[in-house]
Amino acid sequence: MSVFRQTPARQLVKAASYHVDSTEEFNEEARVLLVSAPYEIITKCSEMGVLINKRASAVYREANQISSFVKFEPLPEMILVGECVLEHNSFPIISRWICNRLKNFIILIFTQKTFFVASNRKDIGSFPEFNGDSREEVIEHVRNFARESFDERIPEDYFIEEGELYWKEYYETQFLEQRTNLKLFHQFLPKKVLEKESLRLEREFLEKITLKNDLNHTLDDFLEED
Amino acid sequence: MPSTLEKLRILGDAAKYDLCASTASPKKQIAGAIGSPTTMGICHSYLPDGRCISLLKVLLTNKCIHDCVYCINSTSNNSCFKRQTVSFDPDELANLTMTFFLRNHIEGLFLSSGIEGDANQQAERIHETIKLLRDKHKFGSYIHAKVLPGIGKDELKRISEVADRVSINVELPNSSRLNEVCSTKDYNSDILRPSKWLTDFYKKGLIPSGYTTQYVVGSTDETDEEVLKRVFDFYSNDWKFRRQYYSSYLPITAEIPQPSYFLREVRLYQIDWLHRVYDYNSQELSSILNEDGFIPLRDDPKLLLARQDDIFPLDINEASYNELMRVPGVGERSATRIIELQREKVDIRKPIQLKNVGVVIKRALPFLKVGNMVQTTMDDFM
Ligand code: SF4
Repeated sequence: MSVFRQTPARQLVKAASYHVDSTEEFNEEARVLLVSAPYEIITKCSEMGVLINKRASAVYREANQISSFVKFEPLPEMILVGECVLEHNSFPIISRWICNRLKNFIILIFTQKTFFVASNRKDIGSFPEFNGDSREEVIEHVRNFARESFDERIPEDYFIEEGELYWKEYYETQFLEQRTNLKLFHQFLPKKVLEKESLRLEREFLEKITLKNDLNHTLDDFLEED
Repeated sequence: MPSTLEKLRILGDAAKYDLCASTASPKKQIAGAIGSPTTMGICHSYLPDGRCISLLKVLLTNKCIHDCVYCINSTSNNSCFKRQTVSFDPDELANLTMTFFLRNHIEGLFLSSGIEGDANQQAERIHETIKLLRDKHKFGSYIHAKVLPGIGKDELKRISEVADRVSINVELPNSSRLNEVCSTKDYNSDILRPSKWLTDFYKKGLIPSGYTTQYVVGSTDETDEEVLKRVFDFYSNDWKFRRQYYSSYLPITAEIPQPSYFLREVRLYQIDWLHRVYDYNSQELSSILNEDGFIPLRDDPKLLLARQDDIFPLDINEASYNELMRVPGVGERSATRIIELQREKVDIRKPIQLKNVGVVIKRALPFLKVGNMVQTTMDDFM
């Protein structure tokens, strides 16, 4: 039973074009290669093939991390608000992945400089241009739009007070101390990723168990390592 | 009356030994549903033991009539680690699942349970919780339900109609081994019989993500030979298990073991992978067991198999996909890419070309002919 699915060359070229370093010239060269020798992109048997893969991987990695780790604050009008730091222009991939899983919600994600709104809801057509001087204002505009567009609301029961505390408690119960394996943990959450705000719980818990087990190094040592 | 938070602590903690790796389901998306499972699994967090969190994994209750020695909920556990017995109300758990789901903490629910009195009554509570999620909360994403030992066919069918995946914990490879650690369960009637029903339900289109099982390795003196006999049988067309998981026995009161304690479990996973993904048959895989019936711990099983395979060295420009998959250091990704290069008539002459397609050169070269190069002896490699 095969588990590996090769990403088509066309998708790799598209993803690479979202990379922060990809210029129009690079994208054009990639498109030419896609027509003339797509196998070079899949097999990485030329310099350009390697570069396209490298950039596509960086973009997919970012999109994967953000769609997996972003935390949402739900608002009654079927809106989920999140926050992330983007290095590449990977939002088209992120929004596709998240909206596919959460079809009837409006996803509003704030980044360092801007914000993105996306949804797969069939009853809202296209979004107007949302703006506002503050995060609160933007959220209010999106909420107003949602209120006017449809009646569906998130049931009150899901707004557990201190929802984050519940999650923290649950997260800690899942740890199997006898199987502590920090090397494996850091393979999945390398230091750069662990610094993200959305992974504060994981970072703090790691610090707690590291101190408790009286290991000779703390998370700070780890974070200071190259 | 314990609070929801207190129940979450206790019933989350009691479920942490259950294994689940997947959150992917091929089922059709339901119009208007909240959440859809993806075809690729997603991990929403990781723990310092290296495991991922993708589902809210809890028991419905930690009360149990059985006496499995490896379990914290067992009637035989009289240690100080015994917890207060609590149960979730189905509505309470459904709300909690939705709360976590909307915050992007989880992909769905993994619901297991102790058996408070009767397996069928408890199974009905599991069914009720999942039905609430599916019908009242319109939850369309992933749900994995545990099959309780001794469950009846109708109860199992109802759960199979609403869950994406179910699993039944076989725990030990055969009846006599189970009897060593549990006096209240019958291997044939409580475990194998419901497993057989799963095969039928799956054929009829229920449980779209299939069914799985898990073993607790080392709670008795069972050999790998005994475990693998059960494993290969369960992967055969007679049973069609989708995945099998292996978990090293951790005594409830134990100290932290050395990492090497888990090596046996790693080797079992490697054999499992070689069987499922690399298509090695059960005889080939059993041939590497030592005379005591265990997988040698020192060497990687794929390397041991390659050393006794006479197809090597392989000409990299002519080898088939199946042959390439037998080369240590070559996996599905690199084998697929090498075949693509062969198709495009690209001559592979240099190890760097292999490195680019993802081959682990150091492991693979002793088994390949690349250009004029053949690394002739294993000693060169070692
Ligand atoms: S049946 Fe399950 S919950 Fe009950 S004691 Fe055995 S392993 Fe534990």
